[in-house]
Amino acid sequence: MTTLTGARIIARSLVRHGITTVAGIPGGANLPMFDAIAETPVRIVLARHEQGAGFIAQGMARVSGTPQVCLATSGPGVMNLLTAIADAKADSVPLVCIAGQVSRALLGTDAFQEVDVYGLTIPIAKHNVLVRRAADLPRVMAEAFRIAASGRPGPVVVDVPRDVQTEETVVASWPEAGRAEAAALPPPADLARAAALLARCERPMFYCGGGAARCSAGPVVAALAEAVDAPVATTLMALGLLPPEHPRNVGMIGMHGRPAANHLLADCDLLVAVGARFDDRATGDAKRFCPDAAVIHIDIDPTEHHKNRQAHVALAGDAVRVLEALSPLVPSRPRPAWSRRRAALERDYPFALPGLGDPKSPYGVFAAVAGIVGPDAIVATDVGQNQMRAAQAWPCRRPGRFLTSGGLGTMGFGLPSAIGAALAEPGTPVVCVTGDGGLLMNVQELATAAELGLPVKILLMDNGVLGLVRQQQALFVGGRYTASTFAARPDFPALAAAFGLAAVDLEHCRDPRGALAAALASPGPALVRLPVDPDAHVYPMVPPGAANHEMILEKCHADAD
Amino acid sequence: MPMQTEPKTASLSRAVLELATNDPVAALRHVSAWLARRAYPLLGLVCLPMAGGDAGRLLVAVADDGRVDRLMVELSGLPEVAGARLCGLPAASLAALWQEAVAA
Repeated sequence: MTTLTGARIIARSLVRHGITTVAGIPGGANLPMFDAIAETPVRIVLARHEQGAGFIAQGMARVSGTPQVCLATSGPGVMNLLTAIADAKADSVPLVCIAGQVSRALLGTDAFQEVDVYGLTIPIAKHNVLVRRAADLPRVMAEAFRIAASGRPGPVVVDVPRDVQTEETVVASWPEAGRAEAAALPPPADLARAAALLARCERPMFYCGGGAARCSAGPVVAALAEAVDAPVATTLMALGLLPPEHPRNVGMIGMHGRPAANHLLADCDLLVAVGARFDDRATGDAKRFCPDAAVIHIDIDPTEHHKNRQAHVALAGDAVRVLEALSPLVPSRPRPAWSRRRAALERDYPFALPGLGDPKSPYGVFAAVAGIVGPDAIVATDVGQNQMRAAQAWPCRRPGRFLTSGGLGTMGFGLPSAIGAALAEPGTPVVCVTGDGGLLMNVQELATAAELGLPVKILLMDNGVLGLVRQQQALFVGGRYTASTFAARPDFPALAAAFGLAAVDLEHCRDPRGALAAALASPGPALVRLPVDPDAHVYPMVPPGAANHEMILEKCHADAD
Repeated sequence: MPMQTEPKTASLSRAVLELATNDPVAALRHVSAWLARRAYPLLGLVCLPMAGGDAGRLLVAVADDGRVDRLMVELSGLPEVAGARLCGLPAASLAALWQEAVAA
């Protein structure tokens, strides 16, 4: 039996849940918490903005697969955290976000730095709680970690008034640490119905999302796909589920996906969706997505079943366990006509990326860097053209190596999440792919990277515009480039140097491969600037509202000049 | 006088959901936010904490516009909701039920 303050209960709970690093910024309302954490071995990473702290924690969580922690003070501190929380919800990332709050007597009085954190986070968090007694904290913290990690992972917000942090209470015993709960298997009858569909179909196809990648379902997906002679497509969130050269892998689908994969979807008669949620960026016009296909939907979150697409068989559970239970029920059978159709589509719609051999081109730089850093490297992208080009060109060979803001599409994600990845896996090369727009949205975290000396290598695609916005304006808004061009162009290498980073500009570089190799081999963070043509579009592109097979393959955009 | 911004729901049949919760106030906020975000035609909502306030139930009357099954699934998935079922209570008797609870 021990008497502890609320702040010390939080700190000890972090240790009990295996937390070794937290990211955050202190303020008046969470000072007791920081003070208590400083008494433990937990490392505190001081971000320069709470959104940065949230994405640093996300980077750690996406790489480790376990809940990670960010901290913010009340009012503006936690407001700055909101985007990272919503982003974690959209991409099912386990986070525990602990916010300081004004003291209990001041709640609801519009006190200094008071906002309704609970109310603000209801629609964007998996769960949230306002702690009203220090005695509740051992249970609340264990529940926070359990809920963040269980089922479909997500962010949990714990809002702790300052006087709850300083309140003393007796802790008689600690609850069991919160861990991910095992998901149940679907009923045998449902597995049998799914197996019957798989046995009967002639044109089966797998469509795998982040849920499949998270539990490393690649081998079991590939085995079942082999048995039924099916191609395997992935979403942006499942890149790396199968290596690019795997014979079953037809690549990424969706707005900027591979043409043959998008066409195959239109032709299949059975779609097996694994840990995917029929997101509109992946499906295009939902009504014309796999229009003739029966659907087997495997997802750990039953609320995803029938949400965007009615499933013929819905199987709730962990993707690996469900597929392991399903596979023995499915007879193996080649489907030669379907394989020929796939081969024909891949021949008719080749996916040749321009400039792959040129390290000074926006695609070629990825090929060059990937060759240097090797298959275990982690890539964190920003959002926009840089993200889509990286998704198309980076040779992802393992799940959990390609970190990207898929659901919320948050510009500014890249740099702080790369910092988090480097914290989670010391010694692993980490590449941050970003654009000039996205980098400026969390540029302050250059200071964090420099301070920590982390080997984060920033590949800056500098085109002076909001590239994907400009591309849409060119294609769909009559070439009117409203508010998408940056008239002021920062000197990014000088900016990086001002923060204490090494910097290389490939613009006038005669030996770009040598310069890249030197930057990637140097200790600590570095920025590599690559100038990019603002009118270089990312193809293919599915127009908003169109079906995936209606993707634009050629440059047929209007010219504003 | 509030402006009419949604189609009238009088012609739709009604459904009443009973939600069990271990935190009635939190469940009330989450369920209300869920319904509001989806512009769900809410007809009545009664929060009934049990003695002590740690557990209780919510009775939610909605117009049945064909989404009730989905409503049940999604509300059941909220961490604040411990269980959900359709109950046979007419929506009109929610007020009477609330008055009984207050009187008790």
